[in-house]
Amino acid sequence: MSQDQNKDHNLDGQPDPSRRKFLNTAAFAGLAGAGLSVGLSACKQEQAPAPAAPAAPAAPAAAPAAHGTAGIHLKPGELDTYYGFWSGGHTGDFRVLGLPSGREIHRVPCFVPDALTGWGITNESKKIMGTKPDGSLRYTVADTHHTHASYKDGNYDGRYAWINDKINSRLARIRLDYFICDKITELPNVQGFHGIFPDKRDPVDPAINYTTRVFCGSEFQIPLPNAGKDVNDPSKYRSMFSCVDAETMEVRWQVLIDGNCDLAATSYDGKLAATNQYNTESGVLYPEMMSAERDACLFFNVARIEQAVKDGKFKTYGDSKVPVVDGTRESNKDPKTALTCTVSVPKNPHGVNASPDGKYFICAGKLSPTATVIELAKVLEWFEGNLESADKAIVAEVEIGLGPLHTAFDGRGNAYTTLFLDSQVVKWNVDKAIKFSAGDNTQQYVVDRLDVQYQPGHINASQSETAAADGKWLCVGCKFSKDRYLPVGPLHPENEQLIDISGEKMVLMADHPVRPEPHDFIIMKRELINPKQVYNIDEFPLAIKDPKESGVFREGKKVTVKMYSMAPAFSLTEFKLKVGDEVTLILTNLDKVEDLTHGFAIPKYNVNFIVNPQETASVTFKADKPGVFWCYCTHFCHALHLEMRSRMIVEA
Amino acid sequence: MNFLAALRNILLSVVLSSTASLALADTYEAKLPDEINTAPELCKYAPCAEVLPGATSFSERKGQPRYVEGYAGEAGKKKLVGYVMLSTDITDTPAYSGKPVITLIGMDTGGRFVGVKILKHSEPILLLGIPESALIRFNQQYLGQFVGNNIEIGQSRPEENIIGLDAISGATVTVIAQNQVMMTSGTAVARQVGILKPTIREQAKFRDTGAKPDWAALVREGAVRRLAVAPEQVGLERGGEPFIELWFGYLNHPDLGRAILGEGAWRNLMARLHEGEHALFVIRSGGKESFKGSGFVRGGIYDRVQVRQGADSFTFRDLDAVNLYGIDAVGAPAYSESSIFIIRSKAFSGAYPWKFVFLGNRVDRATGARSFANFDVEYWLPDQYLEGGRPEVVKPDAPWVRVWKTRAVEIVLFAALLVSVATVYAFREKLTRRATRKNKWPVNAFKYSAWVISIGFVGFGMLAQPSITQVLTWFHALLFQWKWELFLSDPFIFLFWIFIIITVFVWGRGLFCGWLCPFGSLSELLYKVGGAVGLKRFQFQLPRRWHNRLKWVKYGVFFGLLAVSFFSLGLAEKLAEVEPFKTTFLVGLFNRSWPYTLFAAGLLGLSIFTERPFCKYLCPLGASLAMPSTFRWFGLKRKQECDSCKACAVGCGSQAIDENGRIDHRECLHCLDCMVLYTDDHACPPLAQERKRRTKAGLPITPIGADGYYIPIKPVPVRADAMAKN
Amino acid sequence: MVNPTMPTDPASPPYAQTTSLVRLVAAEAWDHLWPWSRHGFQRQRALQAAGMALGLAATVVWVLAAMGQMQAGAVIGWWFGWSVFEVFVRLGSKPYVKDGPWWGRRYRVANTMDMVCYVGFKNLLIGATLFIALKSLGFLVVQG
Repeated sequence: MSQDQNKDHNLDGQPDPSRRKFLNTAAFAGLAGAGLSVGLSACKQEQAPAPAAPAAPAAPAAAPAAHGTAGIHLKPGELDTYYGFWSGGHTGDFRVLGLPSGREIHRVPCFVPDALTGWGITNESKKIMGTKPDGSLRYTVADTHHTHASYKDGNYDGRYAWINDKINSRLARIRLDYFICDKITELPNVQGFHGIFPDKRDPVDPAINYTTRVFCGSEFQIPLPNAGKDVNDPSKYRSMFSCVDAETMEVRWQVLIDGNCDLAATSYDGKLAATNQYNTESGVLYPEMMSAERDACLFFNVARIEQAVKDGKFKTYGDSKVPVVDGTRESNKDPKTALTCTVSVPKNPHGVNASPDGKYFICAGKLSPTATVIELAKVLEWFEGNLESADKAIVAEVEIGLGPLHTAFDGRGNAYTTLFLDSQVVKWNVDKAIKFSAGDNTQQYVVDRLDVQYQPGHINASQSETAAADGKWLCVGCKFSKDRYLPVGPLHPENEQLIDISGEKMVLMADHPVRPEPHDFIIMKRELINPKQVYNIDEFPLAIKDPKESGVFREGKKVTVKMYSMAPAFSLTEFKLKVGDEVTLILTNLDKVEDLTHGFAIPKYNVNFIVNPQETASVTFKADKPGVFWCYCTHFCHALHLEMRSRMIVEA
Repeated sequence: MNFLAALRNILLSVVLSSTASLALADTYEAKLPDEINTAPELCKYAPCAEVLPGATSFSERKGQPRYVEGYAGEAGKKKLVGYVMLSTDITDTPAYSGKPVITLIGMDTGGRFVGVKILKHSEPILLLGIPESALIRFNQQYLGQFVGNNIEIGQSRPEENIIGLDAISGATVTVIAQNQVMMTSGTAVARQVGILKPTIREQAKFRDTGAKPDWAALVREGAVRRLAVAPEQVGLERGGEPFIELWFGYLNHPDLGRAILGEGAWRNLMARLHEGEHALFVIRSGGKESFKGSGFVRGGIYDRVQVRQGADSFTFRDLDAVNLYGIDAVGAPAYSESSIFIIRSKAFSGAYPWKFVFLGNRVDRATGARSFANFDVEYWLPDQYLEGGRPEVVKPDAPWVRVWKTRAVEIVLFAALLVSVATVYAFREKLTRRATRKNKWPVNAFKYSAWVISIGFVGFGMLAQPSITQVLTWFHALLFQWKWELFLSDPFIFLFWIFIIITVFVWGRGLFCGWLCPFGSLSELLYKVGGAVGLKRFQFQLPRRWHNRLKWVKYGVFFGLLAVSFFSLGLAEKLAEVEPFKTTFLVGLFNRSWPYTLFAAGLLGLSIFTERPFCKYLCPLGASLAMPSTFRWFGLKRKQECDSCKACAVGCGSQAIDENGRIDHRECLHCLDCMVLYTDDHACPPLAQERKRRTKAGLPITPIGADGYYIPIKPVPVRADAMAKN
Repeated sequence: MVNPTMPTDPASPPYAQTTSLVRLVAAEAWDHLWPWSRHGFQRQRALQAAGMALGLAATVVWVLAAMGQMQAGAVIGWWFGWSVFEVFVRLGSKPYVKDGPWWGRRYRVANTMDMVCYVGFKNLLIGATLFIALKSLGFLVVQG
């Protein structure tokens, strides 16, 4: 057990005042160094510490040891019990980890090209990614932050996961049967697309108890349309909250709002979606963004918005055909017709998370050391006109520590919030916090605190975002790893830490370095995912199912090379082209054996891609270099893998 | 053992070279390369092309059970022309020797047999005498036959769609086994490659009670079953730990699926299955051996597990395996390997019994040779889980049952013969008392009838001549594989041996040898006929001196065979040709090469002039039965006077009465002549003397008592005593 | 004067006259398993010495067999050899066999062939029983 943890138990959840002081000072120094002299509203060093956790049980070290034996170090052949879906940050990918081992099992390319799979090289992937008129990729960079998966009955159903690209405002869908990206949608009228969250059921139709919408928030405000007009008038900049159809991946509608969107959450009854807003000021520079004491959590009444769209009460902007409804405060003053509801939250909140009991959304203060608990029933009351002020929906606003960002849940009434500035995770009890806020000062709502290394951002627990939160494992995405790994030069990995939360006390179990830089993640039970072992050949229109179809087919300059692979050979041991040919090469992997993937590389033509069992992929290129080019299998497949080649002969 | 092996080889080679002129079998115990059983390229070691005409190249072994594909044409334009299978890859059905006849079978793409070649057999019956060509001719009957036909040994019965094959006389068991091998092998491969459509079974209707039994209850009900293989079963050192211990069960049933997997996981699994697909789980709770093996890594096939239902077998590919994430049932053992396998076939039904098979290898510790060893456990959903309970399953009769049924009449007649001979013999005294030296017909009528029936009906008709080879075969079967079915498939021999064993214990071997042995009967009948037709003056007995010496020869023959059989049963079986039975009855005097015919004919010819020469001096079967006859329970009767009287001894055809009047029960063939004399008051000297005395003295001739004397006349002293007392 | 009703002269083993059935059965069982007698022991000293050695060797063989170290063929060979030896021992030590029904009490002097038959038959039954028992318990694995 590390010293940190020992210290933690000794401290019994109470922040060490001296350390706190140091950290705060350092944080201030950092901020000050950036040329800033803004007071953090409630962040006074003199302030008494937040209510401490009750006295520690008699043997604090023994208890965690007992529940910590669940074993994160799997024996050879043992399988992880959870899937973790991680965003990759500006590597632009989607990652799959096994938990609790923390082993990275897979990366799914979506927004950016991938040399291993040929994503961005094959015609099929290019079609999904989007191309310019000349056939080249429209974008080759992306920044993925949040990934969430589809729901049914309040739990994951293993159909889809979605992930955002903040740079180019794109939403990608991952099929969880093949773990591939099958659709990418670019959101119109927005920039800085950040938070996403699928709905959990339809607000109106009780039969639709599964995800049909994905909500997307945009952080950056821009002129509408963003086509050169109003570029110098930030007051005309606007942000929108978008809804994408989960099946078609078409944008269903957008809501024009005041301020911006950060993260998103949805209610278990399907009626509400929400985004936290840190820039209600609509500032352009961060001092402006920090000017208001309270920002907001903005609620969307999904049913009313869709009725409004149906009723034709929308506008469109620029080339976009997407209906945009007006969700500004000004237009939504009457609760009974309002599309949106603004609940205030202290200073630049970060993160909005739905509790697994379906009752509350919790916003973390970021620049306020508080967490705000908003009761959804009361928000709905407001929409009915039965609540005099939207802020009455706030049932608790309690101090939990410095720099609270994101909150996870264990299904036993506890919330776990990352404290960025304190480099801690605080475990606090929601009910007690509510009672405390109601005036019962005896409520010790902070249960435990744990130092993490260092400065955590996102946090999530196993099944935390479902009604089936099981309170077993907690993952913390620490933004800085500093001294935690062998140094590899100036660039450090992120530090994903695994915490056992099955007991009263949190127990830090493991550090895992991850390539920068994942933001958010979800953790779900392995039983919820049913991946297919090989592709269905019928899903590929170009598939070469019959060996007789293999060959070279020429129509003038256009040449189609149809091949199939079957370990350890390609169906064509050679194929002849002429300089100037416009070649489309189609390759089907006819092997129907699990894990028998073939690769296909063409030297000097910058082509490499793989075909998984029963998959078909194609590439199009111009035969502009004469000569012999040994195409070969790049993905180890067979004892005769090295011999698996085909000669591409380009005749001058 | 090396020494013994060497000795065996020397002996073998000596005998083989000395009998080289005889038609020798060339596949008898032929040495096959070890690779033929295991190597992927079967056809490198086996003459596949000979059984699949037109094929020029062959695939590696594939499938489960294994077979190879044969192609015509050159690489690139190869055309599938058929399949070749090695019988032992598919079934280990033993033939008469207790070992399989290793057969290479070719089948075209239409499912017709196109070639059959015996690679190795251990059938003693085919060693000598019945030429191996008989088996080849038998096998040729399969050529052109469709594998899906009902092919049986015996008469064709068009009304039952049964195609009959001509058996090999005297090798019934061998050909019944061979037919089973051919049909099992052919159908196993034909089903795999789709020539034969799988049996469509009615799908189960599950009774969903909502019960959630725990592990112990599941095991008790038979809803979860255990398959364990001990190390010694696969030729490894005995050890406390099993080689592998597996538990398996059927998951489609809602009660069981929920109990085993838990509600969520079960629903999830069922959502994956299409109609007609079935899931079962397997966990390994003990042993180091993997049930997955590595076959699925290389070729995508799980080659260590299989499910069989009826004649259909279901194998699993990598795509049919799903992770088993956990057992929900309380009390499940810890396990180190697990999987859910999916049977994707409508042919499978959970309502009917099926077998889970672990396909292992057995390593012979002495030679290191590997052979396939399959271990299976039957699974049948318990009654209470099926709507309407378990369906009735009609299992086809085993081959031996069919034999008993088709030959029921003869079997009943034969059994009646055995019972009546035993009954007649049990009441022999009633007959011997009626008979006299002059008129032995009361006995002989029965005995001669038994001879005639046993020669005609038992010997030539049913071919039921017991033989020393059967005794040796039992030894072999006891050592290697005792299969009742095998012995039962020849009902006459089977019944005959029951009769022999019982009567040897009760009365000694004489009843079988003297009354029912077909060859013995023939031999003595010839002697009697010879005497009757006037050759009596040429008939002779060996002098007692020579008889007493030569009678040991048969024991020497028997012990010789027995000793040889320890080294080589095959050789012993060959040497058992000293019995002329095969030549006389099974094959026929004129169907064998001349040395056999000469030998048998010589013995029979000699029988005309001296009684039973073969039985007295050579018969190893007789010797083997004679020894336990020492301890028969009930012997023949003697009188004290027999120690000096030679009357019986002189008339004893089998020369079993010595100079002291004692009967050697090892030699006695129960002709009952001496028993006729025993009560014949005109022939038995002590009786005749008493008769004459009484006649002279005018005393009454009282009946002869059980002790062979007249019942004494002593009424007076008794009364006098009584009066004196009074 | 010989008694022709019996194949050989009557004999009377020490236990023949006992009235206790249990004692008789026990004595007969002992007789079947133990070929030696004190009387014979003194008469056949050389044979006994050889017998001890052979008996010891036979025991070793059976132990080896029980441990699965022995080939079936060798076991049978030993059984055969031992049986031959037992015939000689018995002819010196217990030269009698039972006559007539096995449940009866008629004993008679054994000639050599009687003894061969007795030992052969008895040991066949014992050997087969042991062999089947060992095989079914998995101590003996026989390969064809």
